[in-house]
Amino acid sequence: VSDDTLNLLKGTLDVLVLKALVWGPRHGYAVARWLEEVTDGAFQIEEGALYHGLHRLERRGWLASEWGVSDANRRAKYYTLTPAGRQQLVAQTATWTRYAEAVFAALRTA
Amino acid sequence: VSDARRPGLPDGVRRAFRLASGRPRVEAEVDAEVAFHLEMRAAELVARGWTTDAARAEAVRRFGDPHQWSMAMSAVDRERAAEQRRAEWLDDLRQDLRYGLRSLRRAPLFSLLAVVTLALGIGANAAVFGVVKSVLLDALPYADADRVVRVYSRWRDGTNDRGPFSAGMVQDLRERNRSFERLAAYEGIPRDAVFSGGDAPRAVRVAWTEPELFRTLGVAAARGRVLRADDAGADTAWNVVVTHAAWRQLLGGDPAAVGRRVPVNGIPRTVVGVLPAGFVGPVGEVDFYFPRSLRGDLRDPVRARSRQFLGLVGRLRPGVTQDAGRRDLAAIGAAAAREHPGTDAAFEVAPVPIRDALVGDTRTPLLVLLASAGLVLAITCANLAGALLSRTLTRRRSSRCARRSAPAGDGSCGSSSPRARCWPSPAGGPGVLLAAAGLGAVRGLARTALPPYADLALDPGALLVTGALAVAAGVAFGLAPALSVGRANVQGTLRDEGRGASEGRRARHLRGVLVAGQMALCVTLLAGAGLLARSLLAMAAAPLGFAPDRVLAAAVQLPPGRPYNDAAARVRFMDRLEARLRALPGVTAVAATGEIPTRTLNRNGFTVEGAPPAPTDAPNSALYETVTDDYFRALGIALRAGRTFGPQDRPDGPPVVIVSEGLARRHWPGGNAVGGRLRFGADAPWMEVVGVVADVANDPTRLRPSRRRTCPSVRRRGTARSSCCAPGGTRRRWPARSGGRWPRRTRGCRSTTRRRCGRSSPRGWPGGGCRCCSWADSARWRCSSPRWGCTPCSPRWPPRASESSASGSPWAPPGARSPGWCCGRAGCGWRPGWRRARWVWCWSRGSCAGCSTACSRSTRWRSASPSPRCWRVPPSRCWFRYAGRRASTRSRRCGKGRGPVRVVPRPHPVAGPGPAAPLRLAVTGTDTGVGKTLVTGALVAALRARGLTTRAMKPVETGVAGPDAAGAHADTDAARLHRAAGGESGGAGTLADVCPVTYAEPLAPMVAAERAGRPVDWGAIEAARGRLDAGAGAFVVEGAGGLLVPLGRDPDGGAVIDLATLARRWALDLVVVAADRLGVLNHALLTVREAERRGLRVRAVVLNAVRPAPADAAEVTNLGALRALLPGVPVVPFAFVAPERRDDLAHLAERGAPLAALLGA
Repeated sequence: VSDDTLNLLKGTLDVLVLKALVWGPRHGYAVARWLEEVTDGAFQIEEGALYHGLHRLERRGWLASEWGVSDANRRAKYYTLTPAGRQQLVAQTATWTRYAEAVFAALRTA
Repeated sequence: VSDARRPGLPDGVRRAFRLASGRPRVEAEVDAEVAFHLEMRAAELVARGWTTDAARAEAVRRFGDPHQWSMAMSAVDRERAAEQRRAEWLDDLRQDLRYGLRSLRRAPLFSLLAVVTLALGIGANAAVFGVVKSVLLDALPYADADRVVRVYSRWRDGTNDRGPFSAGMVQDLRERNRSFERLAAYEGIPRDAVFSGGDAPRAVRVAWTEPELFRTLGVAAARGRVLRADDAGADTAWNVVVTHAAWRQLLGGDPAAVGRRVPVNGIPRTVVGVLPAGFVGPVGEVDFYFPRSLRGDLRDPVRARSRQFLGLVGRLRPGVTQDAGRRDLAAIGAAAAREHPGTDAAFEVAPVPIRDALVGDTRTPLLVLLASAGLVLAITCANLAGALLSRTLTRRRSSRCARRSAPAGDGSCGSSSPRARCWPSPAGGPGVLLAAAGLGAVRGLARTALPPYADLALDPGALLVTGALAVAAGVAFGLAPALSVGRANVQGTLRDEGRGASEGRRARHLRGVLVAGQMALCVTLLAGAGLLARSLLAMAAAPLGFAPDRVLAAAVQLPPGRPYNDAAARVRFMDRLEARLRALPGVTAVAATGEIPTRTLNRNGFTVEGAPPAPTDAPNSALYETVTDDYFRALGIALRAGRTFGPQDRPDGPPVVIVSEGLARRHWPGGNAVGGRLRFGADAPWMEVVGVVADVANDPTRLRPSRRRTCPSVRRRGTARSSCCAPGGTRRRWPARSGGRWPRRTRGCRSTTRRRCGRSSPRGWPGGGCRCCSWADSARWRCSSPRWGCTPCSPRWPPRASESSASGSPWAPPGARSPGWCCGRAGCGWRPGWRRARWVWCWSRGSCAGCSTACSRSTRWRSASPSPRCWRVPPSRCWFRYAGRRASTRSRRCGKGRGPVRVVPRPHPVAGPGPAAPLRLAVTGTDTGVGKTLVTGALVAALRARGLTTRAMKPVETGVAGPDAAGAHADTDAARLHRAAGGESGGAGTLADVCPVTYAEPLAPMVAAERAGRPVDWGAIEAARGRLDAGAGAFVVEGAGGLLVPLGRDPDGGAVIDLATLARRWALDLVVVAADRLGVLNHALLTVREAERRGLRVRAVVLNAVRPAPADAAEVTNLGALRALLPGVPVVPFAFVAPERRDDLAHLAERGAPLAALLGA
């Protein structure tokens, strides 16, 4: 897999993680589960990479984290989308949609 | 919240610097997060039937390498924390600066005091350090200066530690030593000369030196060359070098100066080189260096030993220590003393490192000065800390009284700390100015006292020190008050206030320490200053022996050669000069002398007529000078006996001499020297003592007059020289103390020294001790200031204790959550991700700003506002600032090697089940009436036939008319399943378990439920599932209709639940039953796609033949088409089962066997 693909995929993961948090705070496991559900496991990412992405996004200020208590009454680290993260999500979603549509259109004609 | 704390720091320090107290360590957080994930995932898998171990392993496998990922996450978090700290620090700094400036404005006097005090301290330090650095630390202008030593003769009688050598001694040292690469001698005293190369003759100073000097020092010429050995060959100096200063001043900086011929003392000499600008010679500042050879001096063996006028420098061989050099020279000196006891026995040879020689006696005073400046700064800091503390406490108290009812939290920010940090900044500037001014002053005052190479500029080093001092000062005196403030607590405050006592013990203790430290430093400094003043006084009071007031001195240098080449001509000149000077108005006396007192250097041995010869190891010797008649009158030297010189004392008259009182007392009985005779040298003429004058101090810093105290005598022209001197002047005594003891203590003070701190004090003073003067604030303090009596101290000091321990918030709202984030109350406005308020208005530290709700003690919150006025702030002022920062501009780590994201081959959502993993299936159809129940029954029967404990379930069934008499629905799907699973007797549970919920109307269950007015009882369904599922080897759930047929709504009336939801919730894999007829492709694909979209795993598609034989082309091709369209899903054909055989369990089991085998049972 070339570096480009990796970067692409990294971008993918970021936007997916942002999307996962759009409805409210979630802990990493919930994000992972959500990702499995919505993508139907289309690309199963190592969950460690997912967590790494969460931390990375937090470092960039797109997420905020806080320790809370999970449904199972356990301490869990909840991530929240920051306004900057929300903007980022909107922007990346637009980019991704354009990108995917373009790729799709190209492949369809071919 | 984790209690992980950084070890080693006391809480006070932590608070004072606002260090995070409970910030969990990054690694611990990451580990906890990963552990949570793994456990959740494992729990999920266990719920889906995995064994614990397998689930755990699977969770780890899906996570990747937990250790590696944890490291990566920790790295990110650490970077984030670092960025955050940086940002917070900058933020703090900005706030501190602003706050400090506001504080400065608010209390201008106090601020001025602080700034001025600090500036004094800092400036003094920087100036002194500048001097110390340039004198003691900077490199000397010599190559390998460590190896250069100056060699002195140290006189055993203590009169001279830095004496010169004779030429013979120099030769001995040069020839016999083994430690020195080279030794170079030079005339210890520069000669005066006349330079006549310019417009007017100018007096210049010339050093005569062996050419070796420059190589010994390791100095190269800036232009031309230094002197060479052959320059010294001729009988006079033809080739000379000029110093940089002289080159600039005398030669006008002529670039072609090398080779130029300049007349010095009337003889044209060739300048062969210009010395570099920084060069400092061993004889001080001179203009020319003339080459000189010792050959002439060595010709006469007697004079070679007796004339001591040569200075000596040496360069040690590489690797030879100073010590070895010293021993070597000392041995030579001792040998010389044995060989020439008459001349060389009185001194020893003492080499001194060149820096010590240059720095001389200034080293100790400089260090003392530096220490004093440091003490001043320390006192400054302590003083300001004390002032700051009391000020802080005062303000705290007043504000607390004002805000008693206001809600607030307690936190960890000392409001004094930012101010303290602020002071150095304004104080630094004046400090630098002061330092520059101080250096200027030192340059002016102490130029002569400091070594000539010292370049007293305020260099970057000194400025750096100033800056460091400023910062250190800020920390030093900001720390203590901040500690005290930060430590105070609510209870303490309340308690103290309630009792009317004044301050907490800690604050008292701190102030005690501050005061004690200040006092100690003050005492030290004052003692030092007192001693210094005393020495100065003693020096000033010590009789110099002459009156320097209103005496002007001027140097006169007569050029050699015509017209002054004979003594008579010089005498005539001096006479004329004296006469004309004397004629000036206001001049009362004029005299000429070789050197004015305190600089007399000539010394000679002498013999007193009639006295026994002096022992050879301590010959009589005295300083002498040649003077003119009016000398004693001009300098105000008192005549004790006899007369001073007069017109009768001339070269043609008998030689006469005037001696000092001390010398007269030593050598003549009763000091009656007048009439006695002495002579210099064995064959010199006897000179009659005509007068005795007062002792003259040659070195005013020596309190005890020594023998070298000279009172010159002599007549003009130096034929008659006289000596004087004497030890044993008055030894000054420190005046006895009046009364001989210390003043008595004031009555009453002592009795109170041990009183406990002021509880019983009638005035309510906080402190402890003396009720008379209210001075002490602790029992350890004694009243020791009797002089001031027992009048009450100022009420402002010491500050009341209730002002001390504050911080607490009596108005902290009940239930404010302690550590953590913001209160989160309505109106607080805090959200995760918001960080600190820009201005937190309610100033009780740590509380949330606008809403006045305590935000607990999170270190991120702190107060910025000190004013008691702002205690009530409308919520709208609660300004929060969003913490989001720009993305880091640093390049991100990109996929070199292994990137942070890996795509792994897709495993099955539920990966290969372990051997014990039960088979858990949901069977759905693409439509109703596709043979779902038939296939399910066959599957169940087949599974049972394979020996599995199989349970079947149909959660909801519609179109069930109602239980018949036997309580069972004979012809329902549920009944068929029940039978297929073995019936109640076969362990398949009751029929009610198999189908807990039924509706009569044949509709979709949700619709039927709504129409029946009876919601689906999910509790019953879950209970039944629990009963059936427990311990089953296979658990098969048949849906109603298709995958998305709505079964019902959530108990809370929310989401629609269909079979896909149940399958997800119960972790069931899917078997899709499709009817083999036209349209199946669409239906099957729809179902499978939707199932997969919902995260279900489709284990198989069963293509159920609805006819015994294919009726059309579709039924022939469906199987192949489906298999092509669904490459990842097995498609299983299920042949037609005749209606009459649909209850034949054996047949069904046989038909279902391939499917069961496929499903891995």
